[in-house]
Amino acid sequence: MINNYLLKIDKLNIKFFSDQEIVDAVSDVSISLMAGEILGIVGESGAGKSTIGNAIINLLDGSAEILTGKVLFDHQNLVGLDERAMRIVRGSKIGMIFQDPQTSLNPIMTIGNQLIETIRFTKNFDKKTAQNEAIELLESVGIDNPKLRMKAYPHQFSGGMRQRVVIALALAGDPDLIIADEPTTALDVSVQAQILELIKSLCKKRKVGVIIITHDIGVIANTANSIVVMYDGRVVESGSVQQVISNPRHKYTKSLIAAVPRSDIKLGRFKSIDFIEGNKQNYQRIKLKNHWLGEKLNEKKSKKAISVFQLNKDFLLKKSFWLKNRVHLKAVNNASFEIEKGESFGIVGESGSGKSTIARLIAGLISVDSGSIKIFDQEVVENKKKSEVVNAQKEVQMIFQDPYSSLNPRMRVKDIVAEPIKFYKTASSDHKINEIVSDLLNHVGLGKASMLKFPNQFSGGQRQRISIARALASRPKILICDEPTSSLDVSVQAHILNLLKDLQDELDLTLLFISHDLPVIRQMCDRVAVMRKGEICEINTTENIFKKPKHSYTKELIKLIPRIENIN
Amino acid sequence: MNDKVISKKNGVQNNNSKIIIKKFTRPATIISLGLLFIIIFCAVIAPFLAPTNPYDLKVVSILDSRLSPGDSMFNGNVAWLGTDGAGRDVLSAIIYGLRTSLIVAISSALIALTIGLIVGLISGFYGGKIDSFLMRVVDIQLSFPAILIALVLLALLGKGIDKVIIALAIVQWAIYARTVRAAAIVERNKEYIQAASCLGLSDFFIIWKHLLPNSISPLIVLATLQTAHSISIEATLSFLGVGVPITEPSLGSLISNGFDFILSGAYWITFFPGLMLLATVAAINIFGDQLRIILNPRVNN
Amino acid sequence: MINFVGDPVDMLVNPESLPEEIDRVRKDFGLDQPVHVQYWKFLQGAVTGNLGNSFIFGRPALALIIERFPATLELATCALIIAIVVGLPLGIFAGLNPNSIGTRIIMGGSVLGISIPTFWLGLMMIIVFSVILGWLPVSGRGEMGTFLGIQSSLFTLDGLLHLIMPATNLALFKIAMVIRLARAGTEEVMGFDFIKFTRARGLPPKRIVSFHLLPNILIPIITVLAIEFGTLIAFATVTETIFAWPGLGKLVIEAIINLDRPIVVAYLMFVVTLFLILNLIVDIMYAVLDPRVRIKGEIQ
Repeated sequence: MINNYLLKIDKLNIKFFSDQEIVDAVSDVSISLMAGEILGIVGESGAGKSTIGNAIINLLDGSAEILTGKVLFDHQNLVGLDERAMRIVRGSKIGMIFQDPQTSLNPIMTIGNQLIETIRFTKNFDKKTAQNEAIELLESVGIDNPKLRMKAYPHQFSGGMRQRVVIALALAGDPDLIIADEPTTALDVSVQAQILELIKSLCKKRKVGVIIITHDIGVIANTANSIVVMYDGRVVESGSVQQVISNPRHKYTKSLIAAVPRSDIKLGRFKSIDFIEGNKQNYQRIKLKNHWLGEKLNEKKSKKAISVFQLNKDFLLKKSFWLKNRVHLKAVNNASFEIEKGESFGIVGESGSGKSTIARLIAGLISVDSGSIKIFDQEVVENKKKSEVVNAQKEVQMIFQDPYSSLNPRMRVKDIVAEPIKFYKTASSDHKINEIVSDLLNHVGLGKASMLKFPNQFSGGQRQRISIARALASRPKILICDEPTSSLDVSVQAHILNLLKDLQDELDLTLLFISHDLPVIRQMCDRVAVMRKGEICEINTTENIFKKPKHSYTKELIKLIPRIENIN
Repeated sequence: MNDKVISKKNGVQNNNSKIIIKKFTRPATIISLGLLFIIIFCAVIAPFLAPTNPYDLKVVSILDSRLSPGDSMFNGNVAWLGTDGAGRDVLSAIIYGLRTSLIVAISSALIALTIGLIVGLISGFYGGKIDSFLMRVVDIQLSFPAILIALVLLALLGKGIDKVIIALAIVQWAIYARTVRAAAIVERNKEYIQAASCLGLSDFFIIWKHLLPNSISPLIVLATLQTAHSISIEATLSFLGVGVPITEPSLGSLISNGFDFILSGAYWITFFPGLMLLATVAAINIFGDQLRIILNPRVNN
Repeated sequence: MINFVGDPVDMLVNPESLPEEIDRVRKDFGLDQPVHVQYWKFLQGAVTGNLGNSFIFGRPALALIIERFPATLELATCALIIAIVVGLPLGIFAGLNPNSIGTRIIMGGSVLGISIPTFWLGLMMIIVFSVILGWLPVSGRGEMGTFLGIQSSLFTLDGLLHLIMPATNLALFKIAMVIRLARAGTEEVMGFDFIKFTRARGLPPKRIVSFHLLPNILIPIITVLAIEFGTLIAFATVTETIFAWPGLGKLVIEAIINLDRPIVVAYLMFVVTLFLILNLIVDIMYAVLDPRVRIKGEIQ
């Protein structure tokens, strides 16, 4: 029955060879796909899913090598094919779509020329025919006025449009199979839905097989027919989408699905995922009553933690000597809201909506153009008394998005966490500081042993814990979390979000939670503000936002959430 | 994450230092470093190493002028690399000249580095108008070739070792400033700097403790290569007759000295100092290139 | 500012001259007046394009500069062309084949190229090719030919023979630089996703190198080289001194040594203007070559 398969990967083994070590990237992976089928390969970072995609068309990095196994495409084994024969397969038999449309196109060549050259080389068409074909292709991927757009350069397109062009390029050679490696990860939710829809319809129309490689099980749930779950280079489970999502058999698949934040109901805590994190050593948590960390707990009497009134911030996009030639971006436009003490307040929006700018304005990292920010009733904008501003701002700490850049790589963890204590001399002796740092690290779930290490010795989730410990070291009342888990795998995300919830309860923290991820917002926040292009469209309780959205934009956002619950 | 991944990462960490050691033991690194060490050593102990003191007029005799390499001098010493037009032993002159060249190059590099570091850090950290102003100055200076600015400065300042050092420092600070600024801007936009200002630490503290240590590594390579460059520039200036005075010749002035004799076939007066100059500059350049490879995180991964 | 060092009169008159004669020379050149008067006179002249007469040649300094410039321009242009023609292919080869033996030789050569002192190499070239082998003339510009109204030594055999050594000498440092730029650019661009995407689309390697790699690395290289053209003109001072090439550089070095201030000042003015023009050309070129600069804004 092999004849029915478009692609059949049989017991593929790939290893990475480097000076340091040999890593098993892919072990004994077998996958099969029929014409017109959409297959999703899902797994967290390091699962080897992208390696498989690159291995199929033999574009592996120099250090990777296929050891054993076959990749049968149309009865032909692609493993071991020489470069010349492979070139005929690439483009005209198998097309590829990469993650980031910003970098997948030659920036200084018109998209028309990029399409035409691809068509000419894969199909041997003459220039005129190729040109007509290119225009048709652009039209078929949903680009208006394709004739005009042929002369445009990639930077003249928005991210979603660019990804459409990339898809057109991948289709240029009329391939039978398309491999899409994280095709929507770099895109906003609304654009993501459109691109997935496009891939789905093209697959149907052209009868091409599609492999979608992704870390996001939600992307696959509504698009793919079948699914392969990978963990640590192995396939742990495969089957139809319905079967795998509604009735997962393997422990890892179960925990992976459990860790995806749900957008339909609010749960107290995320289910703990034992399979992955193995956070079994429960480090001793601090008894807050008579600890340094709890000393200032009930200091503030004010009920309002943050009040923002008619806040404005412009960014200069285009510099010019002449005032009228300058181009400004209204990053934050007349934003007003209030956050109660102890509340979890969420701001949700797509990239460029100004949500991070608000966070940075409140944290005092960038200056305000106009408007007022009060932190526990203390005005921090236009306040002449610098000491008051510093004191108020000290109550606010921030957790950043990128755990790899938010810690100074040249400092030991101990010194990173101790810095605010030392700078403000909030503890008396070195011995005392050491004790506090060790307690804090224990409290966030890292052992005492981590104190002497450097940040690069930790994984992303652990680094985020260090960031949290550093923020706690200045004993804040307000914690601003700017996409704290968007660069983490779902399973790690669940643990970090649980930690934040625990800390909020214990320390009576006020949480300002910034995210583009609606399900995460749903799980974390009491009230939500929806932002778009610098303006707040709607503020309401989380329940109302999700159940009874008022603003049309909110409705649109809620509709577009990729959900796995639908399958059940 | 799970323990396995951590141990993998730790493994990489430990192995990284091994790789760095391995890279240091590459032949190009060892040879260049060895050569560099010998050159610096020779320059330091010049008075003990050189057969004669070329500045001691009592020893130098016009009767010895233009002896070929290997000839015996009037006083019986062998001039292994010949003598110049004034009867100085070329070998001794080279050893002393090397010393002058290195002193000029290293001290000017240190001065330029200090100025460039301060300007670059301030510019990168504060951005805005300060940055625009400082970088405009840097741009203007860098759009003119170093040799040209040095020529003009020396025409203005006159001759003398100290003046050459000042001129070379002025010529070089801008490139350091630009490099530091570029690194500082990359670091400044990283979230750990924002976290530090979120903690309310003072600007000076953030620049000193966070920005400086993370912005300095591109400077190590640059400083090495710039030192080689400033040896070349000093030699060129001295060759053109506007560099160090004839009383304290550098390698460049020695070559200049031999310029008048090349057509008469006395090649050694220019050849050997030039060879020394080439060896010194090449050793530093190769070492700098090796350092770049060693320190480049992209190559490490 | 050039006024502070030394007294040009010392260089102009015979050391045995009588004091009266020295005073006369001083007066002729206006050097007996206070500095600010001299400066004011200079400014007055500068506005009208008169930068003063050379002390030594007794002719307008700017005219001398303009007269000598074509020789330098010819030398620098030839050097630049040599640098590109030799350096670019070698650099791209090295970037595409990082581990080959050829790359090692090329990169080793480029280290030598940036390390070797230009002036010393010039002297060695004279010793080898002129003194020992006797193939090439030692100095001067040689016979000049006229073609399309342009006078240049490129158009006669004698002129070409005179040009080979200085131009190669001047180009050597730049060859090494172009190699390094081209290699670094190639390595960087080859790592980009869009190159991987061209391979995934089945384009042949030749096409990828000439239509995707080359244009992308050329933009930065061309702009750097335009600026470096100025450096070539500055470095020509050295080469011209060695090969007695009758260009700007030789003129200005002699002027500096002889304290011929008007020439030095005129040279500075000339070079500053030249650099401003070069920078302008770079900006324009950048805009012409790079569509990201040329065409702004999204079309929706």
